[in-house]
This record gives sequence, structure tokens and C-alpha cells, in this order.
Amino acid sequence: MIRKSKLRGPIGRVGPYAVTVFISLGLIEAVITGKPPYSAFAFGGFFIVLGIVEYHRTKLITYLMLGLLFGTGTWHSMARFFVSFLSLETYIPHVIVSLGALVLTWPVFYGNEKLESNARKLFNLASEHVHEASNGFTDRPYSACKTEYTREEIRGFARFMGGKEIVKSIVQEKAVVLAFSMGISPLKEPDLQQISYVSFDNEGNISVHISEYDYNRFKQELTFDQLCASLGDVFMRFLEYYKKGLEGRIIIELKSGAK
Amino acid sequence: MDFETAAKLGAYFSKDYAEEVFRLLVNYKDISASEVASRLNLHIQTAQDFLEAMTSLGILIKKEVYEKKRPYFRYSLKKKKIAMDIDLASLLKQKQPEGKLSKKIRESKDSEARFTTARYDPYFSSVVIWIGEGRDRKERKINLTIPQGKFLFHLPFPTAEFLTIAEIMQKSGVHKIHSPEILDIVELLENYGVIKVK
Repeated sequence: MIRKSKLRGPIGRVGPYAVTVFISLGLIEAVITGKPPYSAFAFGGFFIVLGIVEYHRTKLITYLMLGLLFGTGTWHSMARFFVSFLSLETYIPHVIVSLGALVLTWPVFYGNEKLESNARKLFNLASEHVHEASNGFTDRPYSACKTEYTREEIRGFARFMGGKEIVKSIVQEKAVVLAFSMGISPLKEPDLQQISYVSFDNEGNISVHISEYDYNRFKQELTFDQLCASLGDVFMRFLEYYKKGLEGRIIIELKSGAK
Repeated sequence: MDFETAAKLGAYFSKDYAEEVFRLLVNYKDISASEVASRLNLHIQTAQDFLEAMTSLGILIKKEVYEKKRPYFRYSLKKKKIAMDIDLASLLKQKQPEGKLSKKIRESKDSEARFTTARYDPYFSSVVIWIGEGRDRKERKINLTIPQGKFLFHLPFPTAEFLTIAEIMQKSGVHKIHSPEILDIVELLENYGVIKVK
């Protein structure tokens, strides 16, 4: 059964298409003029704009830094034919620095991409059973339900979910918070009001918070309380799987949320 | 004594000349406003206002007398002891809150209120609401008691089913003893359009 996601596509989805388009344009330009300066400058501009947009969204400086390095690197590759003080000797260090930065920031870059992808899967799973669209957004956390778990169980569950990069787990004295977001990165450790989370307190109370940014990523204004309740149910189900030692089912169910 | 009378009495008693005026009233059989003013070096209007206020509160009595056909008032003490007895229970807004607890409520759509959680505890510590229009629009922060914070944490969302105040109190584990403060915050937020009543 093919189900359509109720979420808008991620911004990063344009990346592979843009790369294909710019390389094709570059090849065409190279065939016609011998060098592809215009395509290279446009390609470099694309990297820089993408870096700025992603930085604005995730608040991670990594995106801005990589965007600027790869964007100016692409310009450098062509500018050396037109600017006297630029050459292959200046271009190679630029490439080395760019690749070095990519290697050094890979854990943050990849970690955030994985967290974001899993956040999309969680929201897809939660929205599957929400069919009404009457909005009702509020930035208040939703009191989902009360359930039973031991302190060790919930901490173990948080470690599992955090270890698999499904969420960013925050273990506090009074509660365990599982944070995720399609906007500001949870790795940035922002104010919890700005991202989505499910919190489990020591008394067994579960509350769900969906950030305004994440809610606006839905194509429709889904009925907010139903969406929160459904997201709470997803986490309750995952916790039950974990308690029964069925962690594999969490991964399988999460994968089914990929659309 | 009601609170309004007590407040008025308190305001006049706090004047720095109040004790001196009463000293004159205790020592004189009766006295006029001009005599008080000249004796205490006050403006006659100040003395007049004070004596009139005490008369309206039933502490003094005034008698109209004539001096060369010109009438004026002489004031004397009606009682030499003043007891301030205020029943604060009369300030209780909802004397029988049970009826009000059956009111069905939920959060209003687009209320623009901002609720702040008390760290990771399942209750709010404050609510910020916007009041006024245009350039006069300003924020008003209301700090909540723990029962109020717990109650608002469980307030139904704008698209959820309405619940009675009693049901929300039960859901949030707030004891009936806190009913008056819950009803107070509900009334306030209802006036600011944050809470909708069915």
C-alpha cells in the first residue's frame, strides 16, 4: 500500500536534483565554450544559499561553514582561470580545508540529518490516524496519559532511543525528555519550547509538545489535540516494545514511517 | 465593617495629622473645622475634609450652629473607641463554587497566550497574555499557583472536547479545596479570551 506523507518535503531533498542539474549545465557549457564558469559560479552560489538556509533552519553553524567552504571552493575552481593570484596551488589547499571541515563536522552533520529524518518518520507515524484538519494549534504541552514504568525502564528506553539517533534524550532528575525536530536541531540544545518532545516524568505522566515549526510542516492543519494524542500513542507503543525486549519492532515500525 | 469602609478609615488614619485631630476631639467638648485648622496649622479644607469623612463613617457627629447669623458646624466624638473588625471571608468570590465547577471549558483558538512550564514538571508556572491593540499592545504575565498551573496543564486543547472545571480538576489531581483559586484564574483567562466557555 502506498501512503502519501502528510508532511511537506524536506528542504535537503532539492540537493541531489540541484547537483544533477548544475553538473549537466556545466557539461553542456564545457562542450560549447570549453570551460563552465557560469555553471560553476551558479553551483557555488547554490552551496552558499543552501548553507545559509539550513543554518537559519537548524541553527547549526556547521551548515553555514560547509556551505561557505564548498560554495567558495566551487567558485575557486573556475576563478583561477580569470583571477591572476588564484591558481591550482591556492585551489588545492581550499579543497583540503573543505574536505577536512566535512570530516571534522561529519558527526554533527550526519547526526542531525539522521535525527531529522527520524523526526519525519515519527510525525508520519503519528499523522497516519489523524484525518480531521481543524487546526487548534497551541504551544502548550499535551497531557497524553499516565502509565506505569520504572525509573530504570524509562532511562533505558531513553538511552536506546538516543543511541539509535531516533531522538535526542535528555535525562533529568524528575523527568526524561525525548526531543526531536524538523527545524532547530535538538543537537543545538535549544529551549524546549522551540522543538518537539515527549516527556516522561517520575510519576508516569506523559506529555507531548509539538513545536509551531514542526506543526507547520504538515500540508494540512491537522487537528492538533488528535495529532498530539497520536504522537503520545506512538511513544507509548515504543515503550511497551522496549519493556518486552522487542526493540527491533521499534526500528521496523519507524522505517514504515519513511515516505 | 466592610472592606471599603475599613480602607477609607485606614486612609484617613494614616494622615500624619490624624492623631492630633483626634486628640483635640477627645479634649474639646466640640470643635469647628477652622479651630482645628488654626490649632494644627492645617489648611481649613484639609481639616474640613477629615472631619466630614469621620462624620460619614459614624465616628463624629456634627451640629449646625450660628454665629452672627452665619451657620457653621461643630464636631464632637460619637464614640471614644473605634474597633476595626473585617470579615475576610466576605471577599471569597465563589461562596458556593460547586455550581460553577460544572461550567464546560477549553482553550480558545488562536488565543496567543504563552504558557511556560515549570522546567520538566507537568504544570505551568506562568501564562503570558497580550492585552491592548496596535502600539498600545503589551504583555501581561500572570504567575500561577501550583494548583492553577496543574489545572491549566490539563485544560482541553482548542479542538478537543469541552470538559467541566470539576473534570479537569480531577484529571489534574487538584483538590476541591483549591476551587476558589481555580475559578479565579478561569474567570480572568475567560475575560482575556484565552479560555472558551461552552
